[in-house]
Amino acid sequence: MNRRADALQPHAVDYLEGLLEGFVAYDGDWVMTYMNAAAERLLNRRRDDVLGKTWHEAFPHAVGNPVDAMYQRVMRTRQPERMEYLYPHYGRWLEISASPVRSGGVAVYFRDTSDRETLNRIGRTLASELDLERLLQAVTDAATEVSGAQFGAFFYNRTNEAGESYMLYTLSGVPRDAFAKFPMPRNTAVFAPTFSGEAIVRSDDITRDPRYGRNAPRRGMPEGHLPVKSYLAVPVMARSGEVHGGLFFGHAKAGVFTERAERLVAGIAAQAAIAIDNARLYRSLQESEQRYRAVVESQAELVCRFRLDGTILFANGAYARSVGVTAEAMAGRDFWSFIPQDEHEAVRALLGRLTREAPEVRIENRFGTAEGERWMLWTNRALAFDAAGRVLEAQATGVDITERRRAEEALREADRRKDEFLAMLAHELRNPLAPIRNALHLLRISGAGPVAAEARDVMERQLTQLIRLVDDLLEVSRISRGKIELRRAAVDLAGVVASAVETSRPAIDAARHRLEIRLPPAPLHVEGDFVRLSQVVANLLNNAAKYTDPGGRIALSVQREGAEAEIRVQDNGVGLAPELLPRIFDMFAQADRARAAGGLGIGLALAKMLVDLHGGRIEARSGGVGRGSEFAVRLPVKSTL
Amino acid sequence: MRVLILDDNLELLESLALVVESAGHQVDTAPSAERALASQRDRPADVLITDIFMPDTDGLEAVAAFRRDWPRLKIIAMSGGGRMAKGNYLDTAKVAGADAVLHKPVEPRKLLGILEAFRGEA
Repeated sequence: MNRRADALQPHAVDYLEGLLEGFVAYDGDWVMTYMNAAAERLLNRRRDDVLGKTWHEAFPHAVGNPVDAMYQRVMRTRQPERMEYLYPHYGRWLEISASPVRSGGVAVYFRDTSDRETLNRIGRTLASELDLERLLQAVTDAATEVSGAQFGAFFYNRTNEAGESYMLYTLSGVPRDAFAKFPMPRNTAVFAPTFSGEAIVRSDDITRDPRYGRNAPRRGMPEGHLPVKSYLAVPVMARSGEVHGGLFFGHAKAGVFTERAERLVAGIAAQAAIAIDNARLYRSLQESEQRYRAVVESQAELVCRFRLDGTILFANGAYARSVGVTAEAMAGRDFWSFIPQDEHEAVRALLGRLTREAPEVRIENRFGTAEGERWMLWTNRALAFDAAGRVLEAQATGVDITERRRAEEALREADRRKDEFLAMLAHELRNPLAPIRNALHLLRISGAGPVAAEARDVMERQLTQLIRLVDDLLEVSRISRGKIELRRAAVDLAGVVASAVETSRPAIDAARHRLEIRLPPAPLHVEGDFVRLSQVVANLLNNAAKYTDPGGRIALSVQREGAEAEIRVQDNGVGLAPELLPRIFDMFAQADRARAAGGLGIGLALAKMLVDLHGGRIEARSGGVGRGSEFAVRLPVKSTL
Repeated sequence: MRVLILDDNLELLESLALVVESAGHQVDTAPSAERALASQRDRPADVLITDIFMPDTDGLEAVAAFRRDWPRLKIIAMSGGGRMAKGNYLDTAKVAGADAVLHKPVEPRKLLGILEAFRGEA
């Protein structure tokens, strides 16, 4: 010890001597003034040889190396520095800190980080391995090497899809057949701490361990087992606490496994656990991908996964066959190329509606298959989103609906022809009616006997009925062809009611009904077509007159209900069966009973259609058969501002 | 009064002529607008009863043509359009110059009533 070391406080020296890290001090002239015990060990030098010598005299191999450069900088700048350096002279990694001291020199701490570096290197290797079997082998090899074992084994628990667990193992340092004839390790006193994840077992001679040889039948290693004295076993545990398995190492000589070996293997086990978790996750992802493909492959529907720009990521066999491309060649294809150009805009717009909140849209479009164009119904489902919620990936499942579309088209065509036929029929039926009517008039004025007059009355009544049926028929054809246009104006509902009552008066009077009318005190205007609105009210009145027994009561009222005008027609007639209510406004819904009353059953349907055209609503209520009916029409009131 | 009836349905034309004659009017008939115009030039009528839905001629054009050349002629337009047509063709016929509009099949008494009213105005 020189003077400067003597100057250190005794307890400070105690402290420095007790450190695991190396500590060396130089004065301002680069003369070594102190070296602790750990430094002697780490540098393999005795302090008596180097104290009092300069840094370069003591360590000539260091002249000009990066550590030397750092010391020179610290001496010059008086700023502390730290570096980690694989020191060729010592063949190990050293982490070195150099700090200026107040008296003008430099103090140096250093420690061996080789083991940490080893673990880091192994960790990097393991982390990059996603194949579970190769990973297990790499773990076993690395741990066997760093522990200095003759051989090592990794027994690894697995659970298959049926939930049964079994054990895999990898070996290092011995051929696989050295263990092939042995059963898997059992839960014996020696093995239990490892497989239960309780503790590391390290023994200089396991055969002398009290736990050894206690299990029948062999009481020790089976015959033919490689001789083991030195024994090290480390559990490998997932972050979840689940025990993946155990790493086992053996050596025929006693006392091989040091504490350092235990530390290193424990480090490798920790890294292995993380890598195994990752590899398992990766494998389960791959397996679920494979299952997905297996399911999708077996489907008759066309399935493809795609990005919204149209790039196909995957298509199943049905899709590939449909477009005449091999399944392997589907990935990367552009699905727009299978969709006719004139459909692109509509399809793009619909796909644009996919969001995280509404991840499914259905699209019907034409699709170019190898055998020509087909109509498809696609169910598109968004599968993946970016951070902003934009759709990254979607899956389309398509069903061929060509036949359905054809059937629908044929049905529409048939329906159109029927409507045209009805229109033509109504016009043609009307033509003979006018001359007949004229002829009946001539018969009337020409005078005849009472029998002829009675016959003529029958013909006139039936003719009137026939004219009404033909009119109804014509209206049906107009409605179904959508050939109705409103002539809108501000309409006072009192006028509408007056016109409707005039039209319906004959029917009401013929059945001797009493009609009560209640109107609002002030004019109530709606925006509408006077003729059509009159027709709506007249139809409701006719309906009431028709389905009320003679001598009944019909009430017609108009009132304002907030922003709406309400026209209500009530009767005490035959009422409506509950099952008829929901479809009372359907065309021909009343056909059965209407026929009995001499009509086609379109009056209410026509009323509803006209009310709808006016942006209003119509409702029917009835207490049931025999309890009367009530119809209410609500129309938006025209603002008087 | 002298009444000219224009309709392409000959049975109707005949029967309507008889109805109108029965009320004491003189009747000319024409199955086409062209023939009706010729008839009106030869023997001007006081009243024209015309269909406005004919395959060959646009009845509305015929109404407009008669109105232009014979401003004092009374015109009754008939449509085959049924009840719903009330708001459409017959309104248009009025705009085109008809004095009265009826829909087919015309009630004979109603038609004769209109003719009586015209006679009263004359």
